[in-house]
Amino acid sequence: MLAPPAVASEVPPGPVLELPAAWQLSQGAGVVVAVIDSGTRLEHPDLAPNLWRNAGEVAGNRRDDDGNGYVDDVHGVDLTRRHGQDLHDGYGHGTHVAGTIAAAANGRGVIGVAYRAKLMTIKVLDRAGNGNTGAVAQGIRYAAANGARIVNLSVETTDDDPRVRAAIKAAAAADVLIVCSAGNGGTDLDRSRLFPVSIAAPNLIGVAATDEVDQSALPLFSNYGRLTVPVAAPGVDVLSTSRTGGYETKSGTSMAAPHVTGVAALMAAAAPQLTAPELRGLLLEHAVPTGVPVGAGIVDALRSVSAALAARGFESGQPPGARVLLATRRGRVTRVQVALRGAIDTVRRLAVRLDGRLIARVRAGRRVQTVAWRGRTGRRVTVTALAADGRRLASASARVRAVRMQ
Amino acid sequence: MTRARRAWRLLWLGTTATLLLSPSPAAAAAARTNTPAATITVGGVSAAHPLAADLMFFYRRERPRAPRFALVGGGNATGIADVARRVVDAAVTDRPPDAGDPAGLHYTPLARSALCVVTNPANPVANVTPGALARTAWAGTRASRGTLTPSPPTRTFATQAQVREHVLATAGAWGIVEIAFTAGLNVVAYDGLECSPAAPYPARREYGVVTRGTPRGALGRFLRWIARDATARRVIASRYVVP
Repeated sequence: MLAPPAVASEVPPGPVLELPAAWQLSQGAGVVVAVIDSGTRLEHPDLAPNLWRNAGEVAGNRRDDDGNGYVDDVHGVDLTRRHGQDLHDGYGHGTHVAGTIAAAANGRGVIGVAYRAKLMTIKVLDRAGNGNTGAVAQGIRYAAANGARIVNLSVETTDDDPRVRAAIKAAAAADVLIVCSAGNGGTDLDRSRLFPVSIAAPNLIGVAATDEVDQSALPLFSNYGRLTVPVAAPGVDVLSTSRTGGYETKSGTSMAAPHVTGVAALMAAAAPQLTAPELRGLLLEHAVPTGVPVGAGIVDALRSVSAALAARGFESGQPPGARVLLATRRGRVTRVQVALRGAIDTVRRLAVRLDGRLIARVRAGRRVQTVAWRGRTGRRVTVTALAADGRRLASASARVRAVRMQ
Repeated sequence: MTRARRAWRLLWLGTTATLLLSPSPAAAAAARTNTPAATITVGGVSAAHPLAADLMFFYRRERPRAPRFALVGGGNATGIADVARRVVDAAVTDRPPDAGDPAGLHYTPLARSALCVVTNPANPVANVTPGALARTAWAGTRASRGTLTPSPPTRTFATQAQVREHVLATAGAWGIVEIAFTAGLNVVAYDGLECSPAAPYPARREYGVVTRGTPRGALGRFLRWIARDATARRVIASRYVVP
């Protein structure tokens, strides 16, 4: 049994999460968390040990080594520019969020909620804190395609972009849980809408902020709503990592969401077989009702992680299914991304056909797999999941869309 | 108030994070994906998940073209909210929607039950008062002859069947189980009331399925199968009382 880290010289997250006890059960190891935000101070001593690294990519060679469609995406991707990667945080928001989720337990500074999780940086906000919803949609798809289990989205907009909805739906198929901040307008989101938190999806959780002293009340700035915002977490004067390399406090629902993201990462590490909707259900069912105007209550790490450990998961006992998340052609390279669900351990191979002609047979093994090839082009791709004896277990197809070359 | 004012100030100073996104003119690169096979997503209380999972299993076995199911939990409040917001198709709850819930929800009774205090048949305790029960731990505490005593060690079990087997096998044990698991045990009256899924017994439960309006389509067929099919009734009777 692992012991929680020494906290004598480090500041742990808010006291209401029952974290020290939850850390006896899980520290988030093996879980990749994507932070879709303003970038990260990569060399921060509390973040550098926990940066996700794309094993298939060689840094700085200006090539897409792993064929995932992005050049030099070693620790994540910069979607604020058309060419190259600059993940550094010019605004300070993403670095703060990242620290709350997974600052390392290294004897200094702060400790993240899931201090052994890996942080994938997806930069969509510029140095003024502005971005666009197209980049957010692209970032969600990137996170799902590259192994993230949890996505933190501490952003808000009044624009209901169907591309973001589609990306969240695709992320559900890839078993990615999206945690959104409820927003800082002090309004009831059951009466007005804000995105992405108002999107109704079984893999999305909206998070309100609580005051660190009075847990039964929301600060005036926090949005709320018993239907739309199911859970609350500490969001006032949250101490975390700063873009200058030090530490700073910030307030907002943007600071509350990463607490829930961290708890979800602890759960996913404890019970990797659980789907994103199952993680969401357990997290909400084991939140503590305190009278705050949210659906379930305040997030509780110990109860949630304990429940995840005890849960068997319904989906892993269901027949296999398949869904094509992405089918694109860029120049002469066609790329297909497929998500499997249900009892995926019974799927041994994937057969990929283009307009009925067999292109490839690849070994199955992961819930989300990407197959890319150069040369043969076509209009419709079909992916069939096969058992060890060659039986067809599931199939999915999609039209191949041509995308512009960078 | 001071704290709230400080939070507002922090907000306006820009140290908080309300980040405005604008729609991008750039075209998304996502492909239009195929329509997946129909899936009925069910949320609600996890206490009723074993029953729901069994019903789904037998329905799929009896109906070759049955839809796929996803059982996602979330509890009563989240389940009902998720139904209202169309996050899930249905929620299994242990109460009907009330005045505080969104309008337009439909409740289909699924199973009735009651929590009963039980002792080993060799220890025929007749009645327990609320005060006596409140002073005891909830499961597996030993009972001395004629009374329930909060004496350690207590035992915690994962399933109702385990509690029943333990009480049945241990002369001094008592426990609390659903009424469907009381066969062979001495059932203790609570404050003079016999354990029953009907009023006025206070520890009764009713599980039901909350949907948006009258259930239709694949979900409606599934719920009609639960209400009418002999197999479904047997599955319910294995844990609860058929309504």
